[in-house]
Amino acid sequence: MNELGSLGIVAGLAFAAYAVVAGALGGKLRSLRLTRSAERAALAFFVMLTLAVIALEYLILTNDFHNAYVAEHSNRDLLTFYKVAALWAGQEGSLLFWTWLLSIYSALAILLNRKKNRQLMPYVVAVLMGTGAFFSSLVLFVANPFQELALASAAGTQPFTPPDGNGLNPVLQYHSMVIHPPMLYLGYVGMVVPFAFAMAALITRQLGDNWIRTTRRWTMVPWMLLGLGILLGGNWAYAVLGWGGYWGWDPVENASLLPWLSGTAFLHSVMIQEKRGMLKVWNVVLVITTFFLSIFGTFLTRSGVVSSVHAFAQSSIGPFFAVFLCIIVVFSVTLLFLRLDHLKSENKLDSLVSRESGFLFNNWILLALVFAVLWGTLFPLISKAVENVTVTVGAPFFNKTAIPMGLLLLFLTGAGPLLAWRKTSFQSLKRNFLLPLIVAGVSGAFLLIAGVRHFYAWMTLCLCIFVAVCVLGEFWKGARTRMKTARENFAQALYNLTMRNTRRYGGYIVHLGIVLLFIGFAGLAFKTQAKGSMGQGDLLRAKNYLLRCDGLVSGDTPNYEYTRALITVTKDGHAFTAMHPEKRFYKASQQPTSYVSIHPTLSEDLYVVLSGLDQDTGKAVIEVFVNPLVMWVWIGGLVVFLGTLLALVPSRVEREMAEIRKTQDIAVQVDDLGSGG
Amino acid sequence: MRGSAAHRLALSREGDPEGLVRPAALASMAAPGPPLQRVKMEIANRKLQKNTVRNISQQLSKWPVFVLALGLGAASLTRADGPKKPTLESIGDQVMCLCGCVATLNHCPHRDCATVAEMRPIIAKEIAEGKDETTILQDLAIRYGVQVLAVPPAKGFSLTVWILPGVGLLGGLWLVVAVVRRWRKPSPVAAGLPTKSLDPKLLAAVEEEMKELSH
Repeated sequence: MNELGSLGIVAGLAFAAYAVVAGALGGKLRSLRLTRSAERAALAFFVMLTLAVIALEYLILTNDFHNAYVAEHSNRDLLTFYKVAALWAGQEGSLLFWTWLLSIYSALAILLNRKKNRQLMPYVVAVLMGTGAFFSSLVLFVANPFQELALASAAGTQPFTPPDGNGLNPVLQYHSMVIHPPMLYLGYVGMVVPFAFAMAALITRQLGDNWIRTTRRWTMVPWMLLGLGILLGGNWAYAVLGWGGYWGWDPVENASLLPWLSGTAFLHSVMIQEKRGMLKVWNVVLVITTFFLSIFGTFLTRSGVVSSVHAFAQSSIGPFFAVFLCIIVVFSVTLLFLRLDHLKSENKLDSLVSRESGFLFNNWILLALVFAVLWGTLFPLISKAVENVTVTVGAPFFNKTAIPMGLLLLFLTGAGPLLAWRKTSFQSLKRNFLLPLIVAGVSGAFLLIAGVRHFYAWMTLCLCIFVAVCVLGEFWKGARTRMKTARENFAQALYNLTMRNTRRYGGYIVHLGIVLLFIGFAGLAFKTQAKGSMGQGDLLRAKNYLLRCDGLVSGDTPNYEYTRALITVTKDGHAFTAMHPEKRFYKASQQPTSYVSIHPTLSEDLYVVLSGLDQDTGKAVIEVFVNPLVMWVWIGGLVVFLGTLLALVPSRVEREMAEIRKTQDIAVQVDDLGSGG
Repeated sequence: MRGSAAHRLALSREGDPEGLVRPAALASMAAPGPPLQRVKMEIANRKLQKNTVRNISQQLSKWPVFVLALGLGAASLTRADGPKKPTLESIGDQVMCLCGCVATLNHCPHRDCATVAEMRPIIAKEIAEGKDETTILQDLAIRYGVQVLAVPPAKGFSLTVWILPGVGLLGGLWLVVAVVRRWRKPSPVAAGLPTKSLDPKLLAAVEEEMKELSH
């Protein structure tokens, strides 16, 4: 199997290299034969990488510890569910996984564009496979997961097979950790497709609407998956790391946020190009930036240039990534400068108070946030290089810089959709903004009376109400109009309104999801915690919860030993729930970890951690967090995901337009045939 | 009328939810009469719009005062508690755990962390001695080195970590405003080009439709 896996990577690399050359030549010589050949090579790249992935999974699932990667990241008693996930638990496997996902995206991009974008496709294939060739070279030469274990002796090296493996890192043995990396990787890797289309459009000078229409959808999918990956990562951190939070501004967390933010900027500014033919250069810059940040994120995660709590797989691959990042920048920026003449704006701004300006301000905040987060993440490295002083830039810096910017963005989330394209009159401003402002103002006053004294939390909640009223108002106005004109009931009107313009109303649902996310974030300001040593019968109070320890039980599973605290909780004097936080000791890796017990509700989570056992008394050290509104973070993320899915569904208007275009194409072909005959 | 050139023009002027025609915008374009009269009407409309823009700026100029007053009021209420005394938790959020976890003292994922066990009593002792937050942080930086602080001190080269995001934000704002100013069309009235800003093709199509409607 090791040979088969290696063969898959070698063949994959060969096919990728061939596809780069054939694609570029096919485009240059306008040779359909070469282009088709390049496309087939890219499909073969996918087949070969799939073969390599199957080979590694087979080795993991059959406990073949002769393979160094399997011996390092799996063990016999690991659940099958987690064995599958061991594929991306280490450096070598995760790079192979990255490359395989790239091959899937490439195959899909080729198959879905068999009859479209024919001029772009040779170069799209060349760029996709250029990236594929880089990653498969890394897998083959630097981080090969198909290395065999061997013992060095006087007689030479002897093959060696240990009786069991070291096992999967305990903190990775959590259900959302099985889905989180694939989602995150699908997000990172997927950004290569819009980049490939952008480069192809620049090379061929086909910088009209076509590439931007294609690119928008290919950006939305990875953007959505990256967002989902970030959310699942937060969920994992919340449930496993045991410090009561879900986001710590860790460098690796920041690295995943950066392409998501620049991708968000692109998904907004692309609308200005589609509607008004403006911001053409800027959109190319955003596509390049997003792809660069995706690779940069992978680089940060994998190279270990910055310290991170998520650094599960580090090695010396940093310099290779640095070279690749330089190539990306030089190639794309040079191409962009060479094509500036073809990227002139078709229109000018009519007014400062317009949808276009709203998007510009949205882009401004998003990119400023990207800069601040990037700067804070890299500052320790820069400081070390400039002053030779080791400093830390932690959560307080990011909170101080990102929260005000986040609030500005939140405001624009509500205000932007209310601005009209080209120009917004004062009457229109008044008509659209008065009600949301009044509702937000009144709610803000109530919040103050209710005792909300944390400024940012208060401001966040006020803005959330403002945005919710703005967005829901759009649904309400649209549905009311349909009720009058199409004589539909409210539910029908709402459904038809949404399905008629899925992109717009899907976007509004995404904005509502963002509101829910921010409500969840605001809850952090009201977090309370308590800590104490608890023996049988001991009590611990946290806010209005009273925890009673009913004892400790220990047990053993094939994979780990555990100590579990049995805790009964009453709330305001009434029986509430039973909680069982655990301390686990994984046998294969010989590492301890905590298994947090969480009782989630819509208003707050009760979060109980068994930190350890008091050395002197033998009592359980229990930490309790009462985390308000955390559930809304997960719900908000889900709403963002569903809204994006809806926006991806072709709307009725789009389908009608596609039908008309199809009919027109057929008519033109018939005319051509007629005139030809 | 839906889907017609006049309709599209009206939409492009006012950007309407659910594609509804705004009566004012449509009326201005649908006005019958010879081209000269329409051009005059267009100029009058432009003047009206210019006045409207002036109105907006006048109205908006009052808003910041109101919003500022509201914000300051709220801020004073939300900050009414004044500076808080340092606690183990508040210091723990500003100090890094040096066990290698790359998290603050409060967020160290290692449940039996020796570094946390060492540092927390030191902080608790300083709090009990009545020291303020700055002094405690300074003491910790002397004891463990500057990397123990979750954010570098705002002096020397480290000052840039605080300054540059602000510079980036303001620089970005300046850039956006400059771009908006540069891209803004000159006022047609001021430029003496009453119909220049309208798409000639669209305008011609509107005129054709007007002709058809008048028959």
